[in-house]
Amino acid sequence: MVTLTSPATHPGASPVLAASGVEKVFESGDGIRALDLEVPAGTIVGLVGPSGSGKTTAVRLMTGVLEPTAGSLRVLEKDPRDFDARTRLRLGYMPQHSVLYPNLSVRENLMFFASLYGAEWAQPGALRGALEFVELDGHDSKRVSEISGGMQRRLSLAATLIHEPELMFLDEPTAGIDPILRRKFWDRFTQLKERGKTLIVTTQYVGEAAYCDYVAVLADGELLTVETPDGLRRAAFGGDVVHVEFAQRPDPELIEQVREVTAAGECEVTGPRQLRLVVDEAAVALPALSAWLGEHDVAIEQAEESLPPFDDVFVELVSKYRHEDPLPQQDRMGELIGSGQHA
Amino acid sequence: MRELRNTFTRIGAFARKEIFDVLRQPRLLLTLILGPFLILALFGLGYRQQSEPLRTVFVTSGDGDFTQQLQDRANELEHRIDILGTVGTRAEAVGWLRRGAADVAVIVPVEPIETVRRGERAVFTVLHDKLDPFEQATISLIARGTVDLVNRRILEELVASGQEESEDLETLLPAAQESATALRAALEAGDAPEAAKQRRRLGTQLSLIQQQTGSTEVLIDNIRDDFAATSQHDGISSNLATLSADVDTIDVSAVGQPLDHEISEMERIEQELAMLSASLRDFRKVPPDVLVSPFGAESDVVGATDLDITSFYAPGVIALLIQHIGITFGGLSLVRERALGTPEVFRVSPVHAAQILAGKYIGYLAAIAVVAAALSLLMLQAFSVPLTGSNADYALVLAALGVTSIGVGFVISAIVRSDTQAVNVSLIVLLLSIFFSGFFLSLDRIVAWVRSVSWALPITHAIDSLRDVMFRAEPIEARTIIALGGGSLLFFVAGLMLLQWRLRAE
Repeated sequence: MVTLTSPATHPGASPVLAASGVEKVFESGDGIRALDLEVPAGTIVGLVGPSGSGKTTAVRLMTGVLEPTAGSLRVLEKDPRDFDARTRLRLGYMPQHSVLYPNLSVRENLMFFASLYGAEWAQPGALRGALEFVELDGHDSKRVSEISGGMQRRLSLAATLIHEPELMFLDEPTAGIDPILRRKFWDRFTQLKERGKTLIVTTQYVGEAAYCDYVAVLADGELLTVETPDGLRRAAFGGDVVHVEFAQRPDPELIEQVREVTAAGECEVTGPRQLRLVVDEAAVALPALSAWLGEHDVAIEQAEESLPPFDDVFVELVSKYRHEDPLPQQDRMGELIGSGQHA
Repeated sequence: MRELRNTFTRIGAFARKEIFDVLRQPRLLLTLILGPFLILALFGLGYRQQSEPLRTVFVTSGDGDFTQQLQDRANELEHRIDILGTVGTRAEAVGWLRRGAADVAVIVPVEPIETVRRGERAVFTVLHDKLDPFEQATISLIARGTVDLVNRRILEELVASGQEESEDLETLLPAAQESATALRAALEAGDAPEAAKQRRRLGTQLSLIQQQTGSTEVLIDNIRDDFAATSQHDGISSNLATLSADVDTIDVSAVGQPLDHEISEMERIEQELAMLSASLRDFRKVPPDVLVSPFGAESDVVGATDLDITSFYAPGVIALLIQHIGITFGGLSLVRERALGTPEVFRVSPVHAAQILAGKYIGYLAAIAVVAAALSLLMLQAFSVPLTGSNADYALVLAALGVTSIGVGFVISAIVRSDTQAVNVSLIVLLLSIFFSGFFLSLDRIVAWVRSVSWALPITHAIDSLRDVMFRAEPIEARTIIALGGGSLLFFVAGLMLLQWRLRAE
């Protein structure tokens, strides 16, 4: 079980979501297997993975749309199969596809979804606030069929948030929208988190992992790892990546000495004067390297921590899972992630 | 309390959503209202209750005079047949039919008069090329009616001729009565020569009367075919023969002896002659067409207004439209929700399947009410379709049909997988309704076990009840309330269960 922590979580407080050995396998063989996860309140958890990795299935299990074939799942301390109306009022769900009514206006759609939760649709303040939140004020009388795809996604988000749920499941909310709008979405998610809400967000944009408190990586229906964004990089490459560029071509002895000083697990010559080192912690290795180079009067152009893009991190993780690691999941996760915060 | 308020909020949300959705499609609304109205208008204006005269060609190979007479008589039937001419062979007539130049060809029998004289029926054969069984039945009916009419016209002419020829009898019979009276007086007075004279005279007169009636014997026989039971002529004919024989038995040579028997016989003969005279007057007074066809037939509908074809079909059209809209709305509703993916959101939200259905019912009923009100107003005003019963009953039947139809639609919607399937099933229900609801074909023409299918359709009850309310001013029958009310409940429950199942299964 992967137990996450949050500043908003009180010691001893129940997680808003707890999955243990949850499995849902369809007749085709697709689905999700052995999902173990605990999510505390007040966090953003990103479910990241390629298409068909099981992200949407996981969300549907968590919302009670699907029933697991095995395992135990508790959301807001209830089994999703037995959600009562009161529990459902605390949930918000934004499906992957648009569920807006094209013949209704922006306002009418919002009113409709608000009414599903018994929200006072007649209160103009609540509607206006929701529209402002997604920057759709001024478009409220337009029909949904007349607005852009990006505006429709924003409206979907507003419809999900209108009743101010505690726990939100957002299935690929940023799919198909431009980078500027994606950034705005994540700003909104962060605002919601700061208001104590919990968000479980699926995305195919691996770069968006950086906005999450925790990232759960899925591939082929398996949960590969759950980590913080930084932890994810470390998990992918076995530690922090440090890039060193010498003023002159280094000889093999110097390279070996640098490796020893930084205690690098990996050392790769990436150019005539460049080295790529994988260290346990860049914050420790870099000062040690700097001191040693000064003592030995070795001139360098540059020595800094390299932050590989999450795309590379993700590819690395999935490649390891698919091709390089025959071990059972728990062992594999241990190898990939290290001892970090995993149970 | 809060949950109750939330329930109404959710139901209201679905109702509003459906109403807005329909209102945002003005062309759909216009089509729903104007479409059926224009169809009914076109039907009312274009449909002829009386069929066009049949373009007729005669096929004759012999008696030209008879054919000419036949054509002359058939010309009287110009509203039924339009005579194009005469051809010599059946093949020629078939050519006319094939070319579409004629509707029917009448093959005149060979030597028709001689055939009749032989005591056989001369049969006319009618050829046509219609495939439609209704058209075939119509032609058969018109052919039979036309031949009957021609037969009657011939008989009427014969009877009229007989009446004319019997004019002399009106002078002969009173004269015979006078002779009989004079004969009786001579017998009473014992005047043998006078008695002999009057007996000869009476015998001559009776012979003349017999001859006169004898010339109309053929006519009398013809008439007897049709009204033998009521004919007075049968009595006239036999009585004359009897009277002649009776007169011959009067023995005038016995004058001077007791003649009580002869005198009383003469009194009876006088009475018989008086009766014959009266009967003859009656015979001459009755018009030939009444003598040939003494019985006519008229029909009158009890407890209802006279209806034209448009008015008769108006309730059926409204009911079919309401049903079709209800089924289509309901049928497409859940399918479209599924296509949009909203059931997934509904499953996560606190909304209950019953609230979804109730909201949709209200929304669609509101839309149907607008269409029904507009259409009813147009029909009542533009076509003067009578609504003699209660407006409330009329509205209640339509509302109940609307609710049932929406329920049927929801059941369809929960079963099918796509818009196309929903529309196809709706069209099948429409077809079923057109044929079995009594809209187009009377239920009396449907065999008993199939009629149970008819009465299983809610629309059958609705059309039946609407006709009673509109045209007979009758209240809604209990069986209609049970059928439509029960149907509404049944389909609501079925729709609810299927929707719950669908929401769980998806």
